[in-house]
Amino acid sequence: MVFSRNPFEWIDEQLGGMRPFSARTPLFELRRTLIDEVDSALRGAIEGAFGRRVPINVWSGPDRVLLEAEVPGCRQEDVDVEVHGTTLTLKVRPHESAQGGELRLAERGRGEAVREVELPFRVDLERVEATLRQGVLQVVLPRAAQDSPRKIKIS
Amino acid sequence: MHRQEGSAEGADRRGAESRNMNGAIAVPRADLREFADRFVLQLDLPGVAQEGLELSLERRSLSVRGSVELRAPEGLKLRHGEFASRTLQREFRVGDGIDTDRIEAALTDGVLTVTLPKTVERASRKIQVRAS
Repeated sequence: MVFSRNPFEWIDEQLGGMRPFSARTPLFELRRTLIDEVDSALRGAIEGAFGRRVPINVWSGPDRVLLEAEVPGCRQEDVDVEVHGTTLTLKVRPHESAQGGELRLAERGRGEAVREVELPFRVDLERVEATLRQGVLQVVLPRAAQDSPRKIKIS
Repeated sequence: MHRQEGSAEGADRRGAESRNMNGAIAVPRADLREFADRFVLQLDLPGVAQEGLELSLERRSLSVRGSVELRAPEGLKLRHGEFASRTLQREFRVGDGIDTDRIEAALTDGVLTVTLPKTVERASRKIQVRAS
């Protein structure tokens, strides 16, 4: 799923960007609570409708592509990366890192997410390397040798 | 993938969280669970290293601040960007029912888990009145 625009940003704009907490008068506190409640409910509704959001960055150079994705709370087994031709598919499986208790606030994504990325060239699947650190996935995809532009000798 | 020109700038380069007008500060998403004896707060802090995390309690305010520092990989150009370097910051009020001396926190896989034990209510006891 590819979003052209982050739905949460839209909501935050509608809410007037009042989230950062600073003022501490009772009225401000009340407003803050109200905003948080509405925000949380809307986020929940959007999560349900759209699934989990996985923001990505795609970097490329002449010899390789680097895909970065923010997947907080994911372990190796929660993430799948597949390449078919020049299409990369990133799948994040639904998972819960904490269990039990009564959820008082539920903003973090917990559903499934699928992102598709069109690569600028064919890649060497044997040399693809993926690492997961601090909830950030990095996949390095070297360009396939036969795909690199070559000079053709003219005799 | 979108092929937007100049995607490194503007709306396309925003982070996962709601942001204030500054653009460099974002509010991380949180879950809060209540158990019989404790609250468990979880915050998404992807890309925040232990060294880049500050967790502090002042009076009854628990504040979390984590910095995400991304470096451009050498020789590569950003074709499509949805997150960037930023400070993830959020504050929570801690009620009287929390035993602030026993708060514990752990950072795992880009998620900060803060355990806030509830104060153990003392069983009522009799107070002796001595005759003077």
